[in-house]
Amino acid sequence: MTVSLHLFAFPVNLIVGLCIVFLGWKFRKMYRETYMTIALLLFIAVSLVQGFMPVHIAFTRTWPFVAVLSVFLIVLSSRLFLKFSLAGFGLWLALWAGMLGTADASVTHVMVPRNEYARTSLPFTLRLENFKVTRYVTGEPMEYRAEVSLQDINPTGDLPSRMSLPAEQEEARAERRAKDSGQRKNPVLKTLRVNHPVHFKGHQVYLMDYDAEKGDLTDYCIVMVTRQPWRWLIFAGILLLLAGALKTFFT
Amino acid sequence: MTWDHLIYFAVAAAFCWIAGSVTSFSNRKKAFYWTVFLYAAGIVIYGSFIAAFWISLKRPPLVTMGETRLWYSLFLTLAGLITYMRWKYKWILSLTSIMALVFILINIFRPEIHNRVLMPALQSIWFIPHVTVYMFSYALLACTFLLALAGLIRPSLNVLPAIDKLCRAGLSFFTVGMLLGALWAKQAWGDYWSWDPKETWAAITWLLYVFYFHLKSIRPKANKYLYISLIVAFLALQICWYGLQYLPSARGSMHNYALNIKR
Repeated sequence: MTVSLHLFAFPVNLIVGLCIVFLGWKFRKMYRETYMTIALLLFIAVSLVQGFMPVHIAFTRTWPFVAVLSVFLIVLSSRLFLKFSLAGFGLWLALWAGMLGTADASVTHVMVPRNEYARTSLPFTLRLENFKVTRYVTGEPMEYRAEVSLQDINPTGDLPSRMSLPAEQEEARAERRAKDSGQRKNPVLKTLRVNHPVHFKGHQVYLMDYDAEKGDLTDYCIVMVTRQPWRWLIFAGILLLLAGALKTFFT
Repeated sequence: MTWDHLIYFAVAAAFCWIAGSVTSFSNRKKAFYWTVFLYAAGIVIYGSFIAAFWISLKRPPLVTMGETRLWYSLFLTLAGLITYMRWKYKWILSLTSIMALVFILINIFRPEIHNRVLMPALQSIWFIPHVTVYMFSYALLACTFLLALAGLIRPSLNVLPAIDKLCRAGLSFFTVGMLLGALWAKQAWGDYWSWDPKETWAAITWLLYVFYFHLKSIRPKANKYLYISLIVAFLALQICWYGLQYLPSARGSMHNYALNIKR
């Protein structure tokens, strides 16, 4: 029952999205409150199904849920054509881009080792340079700080050139680099922290895990790399809905 | 300031709140001002405990269940006072006092509440706005729940206009809290929305309150159904807020900070 996301990869998702807009325009007599109420009830019903399901079952990725969400979006867009509201449009945009953008989004978990670059299917690779856990006096963790170097995977085979790093790091790295295949450009050194993802080549890198038993001496860290090309539309929708919500306080 | 001191502040605040609730029923000329003064004094006393607690913890008391319940009592009484001042409902203060005291008593009689430090996952600029905005919306929506119950029991009361205004404000705050959460989720978990159990139930609650407004515009006179829809929405809110702990399907929620130590 799960929707095969690859079937809806760009530009199919955009075409579906335009169909939703077109249907909303075509059936704009559906702006009547009754249809909106029914669409809301349907949306509540499918959300309740997800609400009572175990976490690992993604009902929201199945056909029934996506169908109801599409109906909701069509009814909402038909309503917006005749009775525009800021909050309504924000909600519509966030849901529309959220639903369609899922087909182009990707999430990759990567185990980043200390001594070599990780093997990934991503257009870049990572290596853990330094890991630091800061603790409260009670011993509970206050901050995790993972320094990683990120490097493009460059198929042309350029030789690595100079970097602006401390001398001893530079030396150590030169040695390691000699071991690496000579197919890489300058690595970029970044610090990953919880709640502070790093943006690299259209991807976002999140610190997820490490070897808690070894603490600072962990041999690896696990990162999550996401790509969400539609995120700006979702972001815009959220901001519009936020503005719409705040507007009610002033009217 | 520790949890042990809560009882002294709570007794003083409860005295003010109960006194204010009593004077609100008086028909004397100055009763309104006395009520506002007493009730506000209770809020200040109670609020000063939270402030002192905050200072001694060196972090906002917003992490544990007990700590969020502290805020709930504060905002509940605050919302009650505002409702009383704005719409002069005499009985609202008694009801918000009782609800606030229930949450305080839970804190006093269930001391398994711990003073946990703030883990890395919660160290974010989104944290305080996300939680406080939600708390305030919960308090406002709790008032609509009480009004809806009152309206259901005594149909002669015309509580819908007050419900409408409170619900509008409550839903707006709820929306803001939810969206701040979405923006935070992108930073912390990689996506704005991932249908985590807490998110799913927040969506259900939000949709139910939106449903109330739509039902109201198609059936403005169906008071009974409107009250019921608000009560159902508030039940969903309870699941979203703390009921998830008891829901087997919600195990493994990313919002369960007690278990997910690492993140």
